[in-house]
Order: sequence, then C-alpha cells, then structure tokens
Amino acid sequence: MNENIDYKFEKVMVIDDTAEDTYITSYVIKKSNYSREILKFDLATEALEYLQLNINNPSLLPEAIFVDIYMPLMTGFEFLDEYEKLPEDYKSKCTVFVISSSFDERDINRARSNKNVKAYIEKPLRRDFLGGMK
Amino acid sequence: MQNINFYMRNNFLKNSIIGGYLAIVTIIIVTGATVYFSAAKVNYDLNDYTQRLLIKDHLVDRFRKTSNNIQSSVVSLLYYNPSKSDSATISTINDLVNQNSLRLDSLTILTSGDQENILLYNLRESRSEYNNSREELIQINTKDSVAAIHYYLQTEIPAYEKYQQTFDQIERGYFKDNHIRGTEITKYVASSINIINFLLVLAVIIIISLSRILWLAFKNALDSQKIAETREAQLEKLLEASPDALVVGNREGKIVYVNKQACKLFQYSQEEFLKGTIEMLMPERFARRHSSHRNRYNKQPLNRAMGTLDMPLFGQKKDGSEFSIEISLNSFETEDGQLVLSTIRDISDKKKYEEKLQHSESFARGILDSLSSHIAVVDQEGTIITVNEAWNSFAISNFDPNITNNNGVGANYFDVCKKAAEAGDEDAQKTLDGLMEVLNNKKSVFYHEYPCHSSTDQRWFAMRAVKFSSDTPMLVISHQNITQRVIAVNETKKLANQIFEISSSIPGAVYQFKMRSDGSFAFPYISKGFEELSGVKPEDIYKDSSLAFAQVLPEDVFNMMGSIYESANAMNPWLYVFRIINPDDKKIKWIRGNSIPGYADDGSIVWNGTMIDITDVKIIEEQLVKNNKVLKKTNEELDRFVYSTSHDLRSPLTSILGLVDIIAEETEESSTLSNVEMIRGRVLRLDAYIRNILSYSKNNRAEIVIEKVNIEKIIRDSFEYLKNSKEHSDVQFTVEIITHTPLYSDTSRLTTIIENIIGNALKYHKRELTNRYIKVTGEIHRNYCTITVADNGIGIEPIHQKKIFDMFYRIGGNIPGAGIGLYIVKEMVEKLGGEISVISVPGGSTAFTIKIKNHIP
Repeated sequence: MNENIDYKFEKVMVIDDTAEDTYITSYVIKKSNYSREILKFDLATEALEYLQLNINNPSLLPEAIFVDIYMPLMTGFEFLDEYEKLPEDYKSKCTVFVISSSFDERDINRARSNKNVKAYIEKPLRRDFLGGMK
Repeated sequence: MQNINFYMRNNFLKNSIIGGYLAIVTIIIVTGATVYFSAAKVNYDLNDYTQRLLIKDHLVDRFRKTSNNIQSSVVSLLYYNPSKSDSATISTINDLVNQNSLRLDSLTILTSGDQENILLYNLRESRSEYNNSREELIQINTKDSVAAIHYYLQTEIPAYEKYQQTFDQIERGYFKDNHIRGTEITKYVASSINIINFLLVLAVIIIISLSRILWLAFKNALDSQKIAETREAQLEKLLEASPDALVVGNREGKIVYVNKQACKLFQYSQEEFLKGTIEMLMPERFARRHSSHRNRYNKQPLNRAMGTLDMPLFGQKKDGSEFSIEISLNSFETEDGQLVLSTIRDISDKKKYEEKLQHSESFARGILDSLSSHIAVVDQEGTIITVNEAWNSFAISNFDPNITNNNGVGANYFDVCKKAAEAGDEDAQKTLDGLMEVLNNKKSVFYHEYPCHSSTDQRWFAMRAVKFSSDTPMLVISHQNITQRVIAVNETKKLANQIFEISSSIPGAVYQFKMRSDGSFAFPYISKGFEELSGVKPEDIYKDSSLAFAQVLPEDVFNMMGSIYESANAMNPWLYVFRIINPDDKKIKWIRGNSIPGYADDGSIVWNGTMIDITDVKIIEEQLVKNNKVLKKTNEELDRFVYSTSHDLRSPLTSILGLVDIIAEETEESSTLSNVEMIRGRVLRLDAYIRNILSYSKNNRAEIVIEKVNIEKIIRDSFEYLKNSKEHSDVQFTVEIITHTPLYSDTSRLTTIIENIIGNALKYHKRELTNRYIKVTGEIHRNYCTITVADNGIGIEPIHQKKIFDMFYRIGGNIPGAGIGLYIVKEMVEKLGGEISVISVPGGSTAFTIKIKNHIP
C-alpha cells in the first residue's frame, strides 16, 4: 500500500457475519481510497465491545461504520441501540451506514429514521456510492 | 140611534104597554065573568125584576151544570143582572169559574140599582191573547126582554169537538126551554102583580067612571113611555159595552145601527154608516152577490156564525184595506120589519198566526222530504203517523209487496216487525226490542245495522230510532242506506286479512310497536311468527306487552331499551341484535330487530318492522371471526417467511454481484469480462424476480396506506433508480404533471407501479435509435389522477396487447423478464381503485395510462 495515498478516513469499521460481503465491502473501500485501515467484525457484539473499550482513545476509534442488519447474536438495529449510548462527542465525529441485502421497506425505513445513520446501502457496495460520499 | 132606540123600545116595552091597554080594554068590555083572567093582563109592572132574576138564575144554573163538561176553557160572560147586588154576582161567577178551573176571559155584568142607574163591571182581560182560539158567541134574545148573555167559550182545537157537543146540548135545550119560558115569563110578568089588588082597583074604576079608566090608561101610557126611554139608554150602553163591532141592518141591507166598535173597525163615522148599506163593509167581489145571499137569509133567518177556517170572510175598511173577520148573525122582528144584528170580529191576527203555523208545518215537511234517510214517525202503538218522501220512494222502488203495503201511513210498524221476527228474522226481533226500549225510556237511541239484500244488489241499512215527545210519545225511525260504507269496511277487512296472512307467512315476526308519550308501550300488532321465535303467543302480548321482553337475555335488556329510546329520540331506524333464552332448554337464539319509527296521530311513536332469527348466521359469523384470526396469524407468519426467504435468497445474490464487480474490475481479459457481464445479467434477472414475487405477496396482504403523495418525485426517483448510466445516457426523460389538487394514495404501491412501467419503457427501447425518449404526463383531479408513460420503443403487437397483463405472460425473444411485472401492476392499480390501459404501435411507440382514484380526504 502506498503511504502517500490520500484517504478520506484513517479507520472505518465493517460489521458483517458474511465473510464474502466483508471482503467485497472492504475491497470497494480500499479501491476507493475511502480509508487507510479497516476494522472487520463478524459479530456486532464484538464490534460494540471494541468501541466501548476504546471510547477514550480516539485514535483507535473508526470514523465510519458499515453495519449489516441480519446477524447472529446481535442484529444491526440492536447494535445501533447500543451505539446510541456512546458519548455524543464520539458519535458526532462518526458516520454510520447500514448495509444490507434486504429490500424490506420496514428495514429500510427503520434504518433511515435512526438519527445516527447517514444512509442505507443496498448490497453490494459500489464505488459510485463512496465516490458520492466524498 | 134614535131609530134603534125606538125599535128596541117597541121590542121591550111598547109592545107590552099596548098589550096592556088592549087587555084593559078587553077586560072592560068583557067584565064580570072574565074579570080574574083579564085583570091579570091589564095591569103589570115592568119594574118587577123578579122575572129577570129567574132568567138569570136559570142560565147560571145551566152553566153550573154544563160547565163540568167544558175542558180547559176560557170563558167570557156578559151578564145582565138588574137586581142582585154587584158583589154577590161577581162572587157567584168567580166561584163557578174557580170550581171548574175555568179561565175567565171577560165578564161584563150589567146591573141596575133601585134608581134605575146602570152599572157596568168589566173584568175583561186583553183579548189578543186568545185570537188563535176557537170562539163561539151565543146570544139569547127574547122579544120582550133585554136580557142578553154572551158566552165566549174559548178552547183549544182538540177539545173543541167535545166542547161543541156540550154546547150544542146547551143550545138546543136552552132555546127550546127559553122560547117557551120567554112567553111564560111574559105571562108571569102579568101574573106576578098582585092580581087581587089589581081586580079591586079595576072594579072601582069600572064602577066609578070610564073616564077614570081612560085617564089611568093614558097615565100608564105616559109612564111606559118614560120607562121605555130609560130602557133605550140602558140598551145603548149594553150594545156599546160589547167588545165586538155590532151592525144592525134591515131587509134591504140598509144600516140602521152601528156601535162604536164598528166605527173603529171600519173607520166610517156613524153618519156615514147610516147612509150606507151592509155591502159597503165587504170587498167588491163579495158585495156583488151579497144581496142575493141576504134575500135568501131573510126568508129563513137562522141565528148563525160565519167565517171559519175553511171559508174565510173578509171585511173592507173605508180606505179599501181588507181584513179577516168572523160574523155572527141574529135576526129579529120589529115594527119596522125584520132586522139583522151582525156581530163582527176582526180575526186578521188570528189568520196571520194560522198562516204562519201552516207555513212552519210545510217548512218542516219540506225538510223531512229533502232528507235522503227514510223517515217514519210512529206512535206508541206502532202506527205509522207520517213518512217522508224517501221512505215512500224506497217502498215503491223496493218492489217488496210487504213493505209497500205495510209500511205506509196507518200501517203498524211493530206488527210488521213482529211478523218478520216470528218468521225467524233476528234483526226484526232486535229492532222490535230496541224500539220498545226507546219507547220505555230505557235507551235514548236505538241504532242497529242489518243486511237487507234485494234480488240484484247486496245492501245494508242502519236504523236509528229516537223518542219524540209531543202530546203523546212518538218514535222517529230513520233508515239509512250504508251499503257503500259496509262494502268499504269489508274491503278494508279483506285487505287487512290479506296483510295478516302475508305477514304470518313471512319468516320471523312482523310487528308494530308503539311507545306512548307517557313512556308506556304496546304491540298493536305482532304476527304469529313471534310465537315461533320466542314461544310467546301474540294474544298474550296483546294483553301484556311486557311479555314480549320477558325472554330477552337479562344482560341484553338494558342495552336494547337504550337502543329503542335512541331510535325514538333521533327518529332513526331501529336496528338491534339481541338474544333470547328459552326458559325450558336454556337455548339461546339471536334475533335481529329492524324497524322504522314514525309518529302516530296521538303523538306516540310507532315502529313497523320485523324480527328475524339470525342464530345460524350468528354461528357462522362467530366461526368466521375465529377463522379470520387464524388466517391473520397465518398471514403474518407467511409475511415474515416471505421476507426472510427473499432476504435469504437475495443475500447470496448481492454477494455474487459484488464479487462480479470485483472480477470485472480486476480482469484484463475481454472474454472474462463478457462472461462476468452474463453472470451479472442472470443474477439481476433472478433478483428482479425475487423482488416481484415479494411485491406481489405484499400487494395481496398489506393494507393500503393512504397519504399525501408526491407523484412527480416518485417518477423521477424511479427513473434515476432504474436507468443504467451507460445504457440510458441518451434517453430523453421528461415529466409533466398538471396538479389541480394534491394526490392521496398509497406511496408504496404507486412506486412499484411506476417503477415497473418505466422499467419496461427502458427495457424495450430500441438501442439503435438516437432520439429515444420517455415522456411521463399526468393530471391530478379532485376524484382521480391519470398518468401516462409514453416511449418510442419497440411497441407491442396487437395480439399481445390484451395478454400483457396476464400472469407469467411473456412476449418471448431475448428480452429479460419473468412475465409477472405488468400482472402485479394491474393488480395494484385495481387495488388503488383504478385501471390501466395501453396504446401501442408495433415498432413505433407505446403509451401506458393508469387512472387511479384520488383518495383525498
């Protein structure tokens, strides 16, 4: 990796129980120079633990989070409820995207109506989208 | 007056004086042997009042005897009483009148005292009061006596016959006796003087001198002249005292005397009277033939009364006006020949009254005859006294010989009824009983309706009888033809029966429920079906309306009554479902009441409606509710299943798409690239298929959510979402919506519809064309909204146009699609209350138009 490349973010987090999807999302993020580092979690519970553990260490916290909805143990919506409990200071600096293959309007609306969620992304993630997010 | 006095004097006195002289002369000539007999005739004293008393007493006695037979009469007496004291006479008369319950109309007592003064007592009352009564004047007249007595016997007409008989007896008896007695009196007058004294005087006279006799005779003549003059004055007063006009005429009709009443009545002065004849007192038409009547009367002069109801007489006054009179004639002989005394009475008032009476009778008759009811009046024996014209004409038209013969005047109505009753006619017996009850005051009115059919017509009559009291009780019977009313009533009954019959054959109960203003209620009608519903008989409910509610389930009663009051307050139809419980087997029935309220004339509210057993329906309904719950649950589960399935299906697909993207980005080989694109195409088609399946299941189950819709945004978003930047960069996309009013619809479905149509337009464009376009136009109206999506794509063959909306219909070729899109679109458009149509030119253009309902609130 070229250290001189201009990345939008230093750290982003991808939470998805499907390894292929994590791979695709990470690939597009990398190719788009969206983030220098990607924190990958296949369980929302672990991702949440990481955030809570490092909440006082901003350099370790992601600046954007891509979270799937349907996952074992903790769904994306349950994760968002816990995320809400994190300090406002951090949340205001972090962008959250819900990324799912669901086209159920109930899911889409629920995701969009969450004040911490920037956008709902229908899988697969495309470079067009991240380009627009720049 | 001089003349009449002279005649009267002759009549009463002079004749006697001359007779006396003649007797004396005869006695002088005969002497001796005839002394006793002739002496009695020579000397007399006209001042001897005993004879008058005899006459008077005789009459009073006669009156006393006969007055017992005079009923309800009014009596007028003119009573000549020369000697008895006035008060004694009056008390005698009063006693008589009182004893016999008579009413004294007038009493004129003519009496003279010792000084020859005549005193008149007139106790007469007003006469006009009795003008309508029958009057009779009797005058008793003797040639040598001034005694005249008038009886005015006034009676009511019905009693007149009896009176007449009595009076005739009096008259006959009296005149017979009195003519004889009159002559006897004359003799008595002579004999009543002391004959012996007279004979002694006569003997002395014969003996002493003839001249003495002659002188005595002369002196007697002078004396009698003097007496005669006194008598004349007395007579005049008597005549003037008469309440009637008196006119005396001679044989030629010349008037020789009138009294003041006559002058007053005819308006002539006495002088004018004495110059004229009797004929001047009557209208010209009678006067012409009167002289011949007069001559006939003179030949046979009978005392008689003239002028009756049947043969009216008229008098004529000086001014020519006529008036009704009654006349009584009395003729008497005088020296100057026969004279006739006419006593004239003005009866015009009486006549007028009689005419009035006749008029009112004919008036009543006219009214009776103008009535359409058949009316008969019968007396208490049942004899028909009178009938009206309608009764007559009915009897004639009826052709019933019984009625024609038996119901006329004079027939006995009770007998007719009796005969019919004996023949078995129950109505006749009822009628007879009823009439008797009215007659005996047990009932005031008898009313009876009965059939009386003729051979051609069915007829009904109503009889009404009331008692009518006149002198004797009578019944007024009226018959009225009530056929039309009876027919109408029968028709109504028939109609009512029909309605009852229909109502009883209708399933459930038909009823009328009435709530009075005081809150009480009743069932004026409830059909037999109610018994089947509840087991309670309608007859029992008529007696006690609360029974209708007795079996309503207790917990339903309160609400049911509430619903009734609610219906009454708002006058809205009453619709209520309630339960009744069978007290025996405790089975519950569901009843649906349905009725419409209205106001009755008495202010109460009346509901007409039905009660239907809906227990079966209710069971099914309950089952349905249960089923529905199960279905809903199943549906929700299915919904969740569809979503999770579609998600599980899609999830790998999106992964594949992502990986394909990565391969396409990383490969350098064109063959790999084209293979990857083929994979992407197939994956996208599978994805679209899954989406449509989901849409379809969603459309069927999801509720329509109506909200304000921004249709233009949906259209633009759909296009942005669907277009492929590489493929469709040259397509000219325009949207033009005319908005009159906001559109309210289901956003989700509308989005699916628009996406599908625009998706098709993109899909079926001609790639080689350079000026490709998609024009979306639309208009939002108050009630609906139209949207047309037009393109210049490949078009649709006519054979396909009708089928493109079918499920799984595909045109074929290498166009991607599952054949479900337009089917879902059509389903959704219909769900939104609209329709979809297509106009297409194959190889040229296509335009889809949807028209959906605007659910604007």
